[in-house]
Amino acid sequence: MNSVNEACSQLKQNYDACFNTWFTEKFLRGDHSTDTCGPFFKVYRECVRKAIQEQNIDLKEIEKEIMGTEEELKPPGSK
Amino acid sequence: MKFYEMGIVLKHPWEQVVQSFWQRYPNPYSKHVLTEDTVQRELVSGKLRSVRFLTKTGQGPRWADKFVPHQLVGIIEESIVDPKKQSLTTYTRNIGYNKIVSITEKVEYHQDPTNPQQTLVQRQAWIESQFHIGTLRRPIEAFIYDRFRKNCTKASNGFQWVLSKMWTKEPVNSPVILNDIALEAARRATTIASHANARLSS
Repeated sequence: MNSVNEACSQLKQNYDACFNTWFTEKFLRGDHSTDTCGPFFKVYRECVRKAIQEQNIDLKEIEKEIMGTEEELKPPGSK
Repeated sequence: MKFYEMGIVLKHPWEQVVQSFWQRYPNPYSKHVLTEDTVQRELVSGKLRSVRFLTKTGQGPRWADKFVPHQLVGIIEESIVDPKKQSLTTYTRNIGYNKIVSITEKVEYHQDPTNPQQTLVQRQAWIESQFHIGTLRRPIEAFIYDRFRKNCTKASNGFQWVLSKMWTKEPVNSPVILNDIALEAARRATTIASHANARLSS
């Protein structure tokens, strides 16, 4: 899958490959200690954040946590 | 505001479903999805929280073209994977386009308590227009609601396609759509299972 900016696509592929392996071989097996993909994520994330800002999209809007907060929508009729 | 709810069964164990979740694009049903990026990822007390940013082409109704300057929609997808409870919850909303209509979607993926080889998917969606021309809000919501229902089937077929490709060599099955009674039963079973889990872990 492409990144929002072509310049980040290679960094994304590197990170995604690392993450998918970590998710399967570590996370799902209960090993949450090592974050081997951190360095890949750092450079990729920087690239994406810059690309998003260049498109005049507010990063705060993207990173706002809604799930599990008061702002999360509830089905009609529930409290 | 319009509310939509649907349940389906995926014929794959939860562990396969969550692994495929991250790799579900591209697929033959997702041509409208243009880009996909992870902007945040962290472990919070044993759960994995992620935020992804996607862009999709938004095909509004023809008559809306003149109100909508650009047809690219940004989507934010928050998700939490809880490996203990074997659940994946996603919460998705659109940005940019939301002066016309906001579509919020919450999807929960749980292991089927009656069959660990299957995963129950419960989808809820809220469609609300805040359009500045008040009389157009309901027609907008009605149009989006209709299209959303069709797209749900497309999304499920796409995900099922990826699951089959990754985990089986059999031809692709369409997911089973639950009717209301089965959905209610599935929901109860999930509630019972989560209570049981809570008791086990306390």
